[in-house]
Parts: sequence; structure tokens; C-alpha cells
Amino acid sequence: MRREDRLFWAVLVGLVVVLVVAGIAVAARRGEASPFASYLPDESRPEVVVHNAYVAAVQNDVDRFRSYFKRLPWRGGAELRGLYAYEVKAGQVHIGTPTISGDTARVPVMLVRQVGNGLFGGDIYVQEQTVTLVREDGRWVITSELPFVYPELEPVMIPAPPGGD
Amino acid sequence: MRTAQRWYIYVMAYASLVALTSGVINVASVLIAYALGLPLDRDALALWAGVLVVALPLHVAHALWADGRARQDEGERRAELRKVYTYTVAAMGTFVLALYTARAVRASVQVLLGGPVEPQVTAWITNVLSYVVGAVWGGVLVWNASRITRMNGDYVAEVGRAASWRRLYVMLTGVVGLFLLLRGITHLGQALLVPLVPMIPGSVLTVGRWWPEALGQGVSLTLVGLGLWRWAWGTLDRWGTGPAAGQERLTIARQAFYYAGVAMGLGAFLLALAQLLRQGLIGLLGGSLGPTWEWWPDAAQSLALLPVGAWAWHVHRARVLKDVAREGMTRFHLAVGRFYTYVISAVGMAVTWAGAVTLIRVATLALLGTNWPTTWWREATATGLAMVLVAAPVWLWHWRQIQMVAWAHTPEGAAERASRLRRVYLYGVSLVAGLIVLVFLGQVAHQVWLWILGEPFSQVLNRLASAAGPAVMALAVWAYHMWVLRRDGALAREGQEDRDARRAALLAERERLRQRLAEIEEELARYEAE
Repeated sequence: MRREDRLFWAVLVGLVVVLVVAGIAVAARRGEASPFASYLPDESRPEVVVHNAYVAAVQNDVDRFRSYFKRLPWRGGAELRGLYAYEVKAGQVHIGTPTISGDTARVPVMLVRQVGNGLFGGDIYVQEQTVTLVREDGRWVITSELPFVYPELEPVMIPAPPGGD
Repeated sequence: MRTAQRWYIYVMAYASLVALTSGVINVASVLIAYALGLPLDRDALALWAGVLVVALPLHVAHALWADGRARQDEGERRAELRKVYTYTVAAMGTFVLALYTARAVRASVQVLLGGPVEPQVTAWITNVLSYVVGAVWGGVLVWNASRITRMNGDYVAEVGRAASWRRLYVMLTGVVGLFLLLRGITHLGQALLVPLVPMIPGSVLTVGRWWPEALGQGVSLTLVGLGLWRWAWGTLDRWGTGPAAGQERLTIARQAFYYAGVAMGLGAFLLALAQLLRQGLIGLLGGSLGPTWEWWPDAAQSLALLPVGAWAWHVHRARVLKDVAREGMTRFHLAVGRFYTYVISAVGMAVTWAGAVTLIRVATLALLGTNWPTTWWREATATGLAMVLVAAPVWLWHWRQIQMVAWAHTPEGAAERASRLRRVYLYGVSLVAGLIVLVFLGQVAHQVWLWILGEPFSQVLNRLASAAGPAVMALAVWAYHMWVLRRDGALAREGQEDRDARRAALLAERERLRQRLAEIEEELARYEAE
């Protein structure tokens, strides 16, 4: 076999192996969104509540996500069907030290993402936001939106008023 | 008649092949999704199946027609238009193969490193299987081009311009491959180096990782780029040592590939060096680079690009030198090498020019300003200095190479001074500089007049500083290039005077020798008479 042919077959076999292993990895991770996002136990700290809310969003666990909020920030005649958190899954959320004032806490969060549109290499961009929490019955709950997480809403049929069309 | 028919056949065959390619990949994608349990996209299936059923018979009919003509007629097999068709099919196949291979590798590597499976597992598998179908189809197109080439029977033995299309295809594949390789390396640099330094100060918890996406991009672009570049490099090597080596080594396409590699390697190296130098100078001048995440990713990609740019420059330059050592400086080397030297010289001069403009602006404000700008001057000075320090040596070195030939009292020097490339370069630069002088010197005069007529100096200063840099530098560039043009003219006249003087000397010598010959004849005649 010529040297070029050996190289060609080596590359082809390598690619097939990568694809097969990736397929196995995907099958093994069915239901798990990211191996880098798991819940932390101590939810008495506001930064851990924010962290776990992000983990719930990444794992699309709507009920647990809802439990971290005083009231979900999305309103209107719609039910929360799922959570869209691609930016969090494809990037990295850094949660900073909270500023606590009485029963209110403000937690800085920063999203780091790399997008590959530069002429040479990609640009890394960082977005900074703040999450607000209050302490109710000794438990921290989020009162603001959770940045970089978006709802998948299901429209709810609202009955027409009596006599209306 | 035959030419019109040929145009019809190949244009129809190619257009239907493009439609067929779109149809195959999109129909496969829709059917794979349906087979894996996703809802059937009826609109997409109807559209692409429609394209497929029309394009397939049209392409098969025209491709068979073309093959039939080629089997019967050697002129058809050797026709330039058939080569154009063959290598545009090969280029399309290479593009599709590279694109979908890169996508499949990227998606696989990202998932293997813990990146997101998006939007869901089934959709991810659908995407990857569609990429595999795309890559296989690209391979089929390349194989088809290779089949046509074998049928033609004149591979690397084409007559006339037909060979140029083969060389152009390989050259462009190699250049695109090198570009993708350099891009992939910068992604790899970011993915591997950036996580080594904590980017977000005060971060106590994190969710997710950003680097699997960057690493997936880096690995896929590097692999595909390296594959394309290595294939082009190996193919040119084979041609350069095969039966037609003498002819293949002396082609513009081959030299253009190596010089493009030299230019891209040098450009990547200098870009990275300038970026690192700028950041270092800002630090040296006491400025702030901002938070880590603002400067460290740029520095990381520069650190990765620096050695790879130097490597690309070195291997391509070594190959140029090897070819020159083997063949001598042929007209092909001269033509491509001269073009390369003028282009690099122009780019080096333009960057030096831009950097100097920034420095003059800072200097004008520093010398004349009453309110010293304390915030931005460090960054502006560092940017200007980095541009000048990196680009000026490049310009000077390449320009010196040109001038050493052009101002030599040799036939090569006279030819260089009279060359169209040099005239276009010198008059082009002078024209651009002259127009900038016209605009910006006018602005300087405008601001000076405003000041003379009573406008406070502090108000005109900023506008004056902005206009002074471009005006001064453009004036300097214009004056220098006009001087070079005058000197070229003077050397040409000197050359003419030298030729006139030499001619006169030769005529005088001829006259002297004629007289001496006449004397000898006369003396001999006397001896013979005695």
C-alpha cells in the first residue's frame, strides 16, 4: 500500500472511531444535559440557590427550576413547558460573591462564551448580570429573572367572556 | 458549432450536479430525522425530492452525453472546457467533503468533551448522520472527477491551458487548507491556554464549561485544514518529481502556492507578534489591559499562532529556495517572487504608515495640548508603536530587496526600473499619498486659518492633531516615492548616456583600428612590391 493510501485509510478509520465513540457517549448521556452541571447540597446560601437554578435549567427540570423562584418571571396566558438554556450549556456561568442586605441578596452572574466568527480564531465574550433573591421562611428564593435562561411556553386557552364572540 | 454544443453540455451537467448535491443532502437529512422518530418535514421533503427527481435524470443524461463524446473523440478528451468542468466538480466535491467532515468532527468532539447535546439527542444524531451523508457525497463527487480525469487519459500531460485548471484547483485547495489550519490553531490556543488562567475574578461557583465548543471548532478546522494543505503539498511534490517534473516545477500556480504559504505564515506570525507587543507596551507604559477576560483570550490565540505562523513561513520559504537552487532563478520564480515582494512591501508600508499616523496624533496633542490626555494615550501609543515596530522591518527588508535589483547598473536593473509592476506600484502609492495629502493638508490649513481668525487654540487642537498625522505621513510617503521615480528616470538617462559614451568609444576604437589596418596593408604592400 502506498504511503498516501495508508494515510487516507488511517484518517478515515480515525474519523469513524471518533464518530462511533461520540455516538456511544451521546447514548450514555441520554437525559443528562451536561456533565459539568450537578446540584450542590447546601441551599442556605444565595449563590448556591442561583447555581442550582441554572443546573435545573440546563437539565430542563421545570418543577425544580420553579421551586427556586418566588414567582416565575414570565407572565401571560401561558404555561411553562420547558426551559431553553443553550447559552448556559454551550458556555460557562460564573456566579460571584453575593451582596446580602437583611433579607435581600444580589448575586452577580457572568456568562462566558466563545463564538467562532473572528478572522483568526474566535471571540470570547462575557455578559454580566445580577440575580436578586429574598429570604422567605429561612429559604432564599429568586425574585428576578434568571439571565440567559428562556422559557418554552405553551399557550393556554382562555375562555371567552359570556356573550362575546 | 462544437464549441457551443460543448458549452451547453458542460454547463447543464454542472448546474444539474449542483442541484443534485443539494437534493441528496437535504432529502437524506429529512429521511434520517424521520427514521429516528422525529416528525416528517413534509415541505422540505417535497421541495428537495422535487429538485432531486428533476436534477438526477438531467445530470445523468448530460454526463453520459459528455462521456460518450469523450470516448469517441480525443479532441473532446483534451478540450479545455472539459478540464474546467472536471476541476470545478472536484472543487465542489472537496468543499462539500471538507465542510461536512468538519461539522461531523466538531459535533463529535464537542460531545466527547462534555459539550451540550443540542437541541436533543435525536436531533444531534440526525445532524451528525446528515453530516456523514454530506461528507460521503463530497467523496463521491471527488471520485467522479477522478474518474473523468482517468478517462481523459492526459493527467499531468495536458496540452496548453488545460493543465492550468488542474494546477489552480490544487493550489487553491492548499491555500484554503492552510487558512483553515491557522484558524483552527487559534481556536485550539484559546481552548487549551485560556482555562489555565482564572478569567473571572471573584467567581465562587460555575455551571458548565465554555471550552468544549472552542476545542471542537479547533480540532475540526485543524484536521480538515491540515488534510487539505497536506494533500495539495504532496500532490505538488509528486508532480514536481514525476515524469513531467521539468514542466511542473516551473509553473506560476506552484510558485504562487509556495509564496502564498510564505505570505500567510508571515502574516499570521506578525499579526500575533503585534498583538502581544501591543499588550506588552500598554503594560510597560503603565496602562491597564482591563479584566483578564478582555486581554487573555487574545494573548492566548496569539501565543498559539506565533509558532505555527513561523512554521508555515519556514516550510514554504524552504521549498521556494529548494526550487530556486534546483532550477536557478527562472522567469516563473522571478515573476511570482517579484509580485510577492511588492505586495508584502506595500502591506508593510501601509501598516507602518497607519501606526505612524497614530503616533503623530499622540505627539501633536502632547506637544501642543494644554489638557494632556491621561486615559487613552497609552493604548494609542502602544498600538502605533506595535504597528511600526512589526511592519517597518518587513517593509524595509522587502523594499531593500527590490531596490538592490532596481538601482543596480545591470541589464536586470534596467529591466526592473522599466517594469510595469514597478511603475504601477510607484505611481499607485504616489497617487494614494497625493490624494491623502490633498484632503488632510487641506484640513490642517482649515484649522490653522480658524485659529488665525480667532478660534481658541484648544478648540482647533483636536481636529488639527487628527489631520496632522495623515497629512505629514502622506506627504513623506508621496515625497519619497516621487524621489524614487525621479531617481529611476535619472538612472535610465545615465544608462542611456553610458550607452552613448560606450558607442562613441567603440566607434573611435573602430576608426583607430581601421587606420592601423590601412597602415599595415600599406606597409605589407610595400614589402610585396620590393
